Amino acid sequence: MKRFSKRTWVVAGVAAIVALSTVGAFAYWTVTGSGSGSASTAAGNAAITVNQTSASSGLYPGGSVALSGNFTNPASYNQYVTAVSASIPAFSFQSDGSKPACTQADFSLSGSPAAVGQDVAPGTGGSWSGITLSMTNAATNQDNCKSVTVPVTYTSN
Amino acid sequence: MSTRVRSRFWVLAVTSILLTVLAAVALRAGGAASFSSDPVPFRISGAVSDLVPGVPADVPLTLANPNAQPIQVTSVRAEIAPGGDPLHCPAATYVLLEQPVGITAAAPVIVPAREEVVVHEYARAPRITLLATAADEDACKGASFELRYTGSAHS
Repeated sequence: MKRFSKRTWVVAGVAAIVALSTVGAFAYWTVTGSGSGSASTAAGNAAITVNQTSASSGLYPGGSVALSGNFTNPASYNQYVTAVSASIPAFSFQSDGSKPACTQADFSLSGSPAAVGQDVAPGTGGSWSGITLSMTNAATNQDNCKSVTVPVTYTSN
Repeated sequence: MSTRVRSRFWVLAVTSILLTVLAAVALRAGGAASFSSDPVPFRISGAVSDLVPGVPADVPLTLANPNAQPIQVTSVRAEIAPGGDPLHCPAATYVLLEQPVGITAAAPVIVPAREEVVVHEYARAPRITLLATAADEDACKGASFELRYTGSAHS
């Protein structure tokens, strides 16, 4: 068998070193990463306004009108309305001092709270109904209630 | 050519090649002092606030590289940490978390040595949505979800 010369071994050794060096140059190490963070929701304080769109005029002793309306959602996202509640704040009108004042006691509400169950989009929309405003038929004179606009306040949840 | 001349030629040739190889190794070692040591894991962080129902929000990701060599981040995964959601607003019901699928081996995020890079937009950042369901979501007001990140990279 033919033996290699010293020169051949030297050349082969150098070539091997160069080759290994080249392999090393193309290798890379890997590394992992980890960490944490959070995602939090808004407090949701953009309150919805309940609008009454039906007229509450034309009431008379013993009569009633159905109330209805929609919502104004000032947020940039949908808000869910479960129900609408209505109430009559205290008031007193007495244009004729010789007759009893017209007060909240001359009126009543029924059907409050009214179920809604709607996801209201930003802006004005949605609807509510089911609340009735009635005027009592009192035994006293109710003339001071003529042409009175009955204040009704609304809340939603 | 005499035997002495040929001998000198080979000595010079072998010496030149060895010096070249040594220089290359030295350059590589000098360019990355930490190459021979174990690399340190890179750090991932990202937070978002004011989530509201039905509105997707990108979660800006910060990728921090503590190593002395640049890294190429090839994947990142985000998840809601186990137990990291409110009891009355479970993530499984109310949260959609989309992965940063834009970070891949073919499209890595390169983070220079000892620096950090922030990716802001989906799909290189995660995206999270508080789902707008037909139900009352008041329990999710002011809620916080703990996010956990894992990822991989190479030099």
